Amino acid sequence: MLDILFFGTLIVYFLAVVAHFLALAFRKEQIIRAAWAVFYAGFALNTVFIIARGVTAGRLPLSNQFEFATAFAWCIALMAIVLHRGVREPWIGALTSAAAFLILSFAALQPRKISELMPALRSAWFGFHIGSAVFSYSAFMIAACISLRYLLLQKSATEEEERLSSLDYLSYRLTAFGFLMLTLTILSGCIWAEQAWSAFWTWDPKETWALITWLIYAAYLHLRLQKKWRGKRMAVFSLIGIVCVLFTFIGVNVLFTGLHSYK
Amino acid sequence: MKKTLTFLRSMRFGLLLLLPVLVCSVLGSIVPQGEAESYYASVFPGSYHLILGLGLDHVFRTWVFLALTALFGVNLLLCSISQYRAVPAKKTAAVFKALRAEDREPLTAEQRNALEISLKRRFWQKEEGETGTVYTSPAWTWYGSVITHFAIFGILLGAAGIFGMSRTADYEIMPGENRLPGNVSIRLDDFKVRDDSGRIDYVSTLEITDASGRSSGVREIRVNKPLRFGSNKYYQQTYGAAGTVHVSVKATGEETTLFMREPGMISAGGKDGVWYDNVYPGYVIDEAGNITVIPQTSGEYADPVYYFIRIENGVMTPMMAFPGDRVEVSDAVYTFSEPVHYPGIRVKTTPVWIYALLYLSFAALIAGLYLCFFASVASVSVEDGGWSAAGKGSEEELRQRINAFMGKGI
Repeated sequence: MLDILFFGTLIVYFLAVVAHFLALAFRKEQIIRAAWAVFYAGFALNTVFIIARGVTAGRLPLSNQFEFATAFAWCIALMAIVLHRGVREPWIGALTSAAAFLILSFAALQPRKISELMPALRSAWFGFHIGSAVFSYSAFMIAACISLRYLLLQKSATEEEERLSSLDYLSYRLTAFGFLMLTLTILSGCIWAEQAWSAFWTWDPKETWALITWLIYAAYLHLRLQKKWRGKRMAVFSLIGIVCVLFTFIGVNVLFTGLHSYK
Repeated sequence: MKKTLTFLRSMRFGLLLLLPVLVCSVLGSIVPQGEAESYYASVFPGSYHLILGLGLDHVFRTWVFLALTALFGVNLLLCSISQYRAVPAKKTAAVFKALRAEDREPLTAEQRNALEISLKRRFWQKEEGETGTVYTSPAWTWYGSVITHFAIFGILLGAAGIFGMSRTADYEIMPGENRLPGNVSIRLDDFKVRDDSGRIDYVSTLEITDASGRSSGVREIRVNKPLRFGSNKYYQQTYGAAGTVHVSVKATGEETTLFMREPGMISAGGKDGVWYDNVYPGYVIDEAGNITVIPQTSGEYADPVYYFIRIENGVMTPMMAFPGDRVEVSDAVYTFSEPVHYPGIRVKTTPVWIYALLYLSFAALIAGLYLCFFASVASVSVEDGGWSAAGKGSEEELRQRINAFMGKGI
């Protein structure tokens, strides 16, 4: 049953990607609405899957790569839907549904077995620490999607300045939100690590890369707020940031072993 | 001197410092830290000389990294002080800029009413000037950046405190054993690798008595639930299994039970006996009947298997044994029993002020970041027919925020 729900979500997200790109190609209101309807359906299925898995496991389903990636895709969809209510841009759906689909595809490659929560993870900080990481990564992902769109648009000389500026601002706001969430992730992780492993910080590869990501986004925000960097340079910075986020999420677990290797 | 100070507190210097910190961090994540020299020689045969020579095996403790971090701390402190001193001037400048702005956003009477109600609800301070009414965001909102920078400095200071003043020591204690770390005694009553519901958990039941004879009472510690007693914190850090070997000497009738946590010689006469190597948690037998041991496990040792060398008259014979097996060597009988699980307890001593500083800095960092990015920090001049704002952020950002106050979407 859980597998049917999971692969159902994956297929519906894929259909949403196709529908959104069709909507971009034909620019017809009906297709745009249909694409969003499919995306909503994917999000609903994703939500049901997460709840069902949580109920089956008897805990928050956030304990391994598979569960994190499923929550990550869900959160991207959630933020995209919230954003869609205020910003009517068809490409937001195209890029974010593609991001959610790719992240869920990565989840599909991971072992899906439900396992007992290891003692180190049985803590009140579990949901807060990992939940804030999910929100942080999702915000950075959507900010990067918007930055990508910015870079594609700014090549066209006809694009109006106000629209570009609005995209730039939106990307910055999401990055700021993601940064706050990442800070919460790191700090809650420190407090939790002190309880579980006796040290606030151990330079474990996951911790180190979370810090590297934090420093990169800190530089982004400083350059924007202090040096008044805007536009193309910030968009490129945002893309560098998301590469770092994805490396922290996937690369570290694949390439290194450490205290966060919950395999 | 002034130029040097200006440079030391500049963002440029801060970012310049962050670059090598990032490089060190990347290297520190690629090269495993704190391993033995032989490990680097085997894993990085071509470059281990370089790794050891440059201190990449302990990159986060090298003087280069520590110096960079210290300089970053100086940069943060100077920057924080400078920002703190600049806040009143920034606030005054925003008020004047808002009042004197010539380009004003249009404002109907209804919108003005909505805006003023919204600003008052957010505790913005109202001032009536000669040229109009001006609202300024609450004083504390102007200190977001200062709070953030001081908080990061506080965290660095706390980290330095831990680096220099925190002490840890690990003790392996057998059930029923009494260990004395320093002038404190730890008595372990029991150790379990499963909780009452059968889930894997590592629970030590112990009692701590300090130098003055004060007792903690019998308490349980487990992962995520350390015990604070006096100036120490006690953690359930690791666990292990000690091989249990019962030695019976035929000639004298003497009997001894040994708990073997490390390899060692067990001998009744000093010459012949068994060289105890290890006890493994389990094993698998393939189709050909070969046994492969499982080196590690989580939870209890389900199918323990002993590995040892029988030594008799100078002949050494590697052997395996299972609980219940007996081996006779010369005039002694060695009986292997179920291994005994025992905890590794970590005792950490950290001054309380470091915890206080770190937790305060953590909270301040979150508050500071919230103020930096989500609080509106500005002055708004409101007149019939128009408004203008000045403060933190671009004109577009301020426009969007003020519009949001009036209920207009972004």
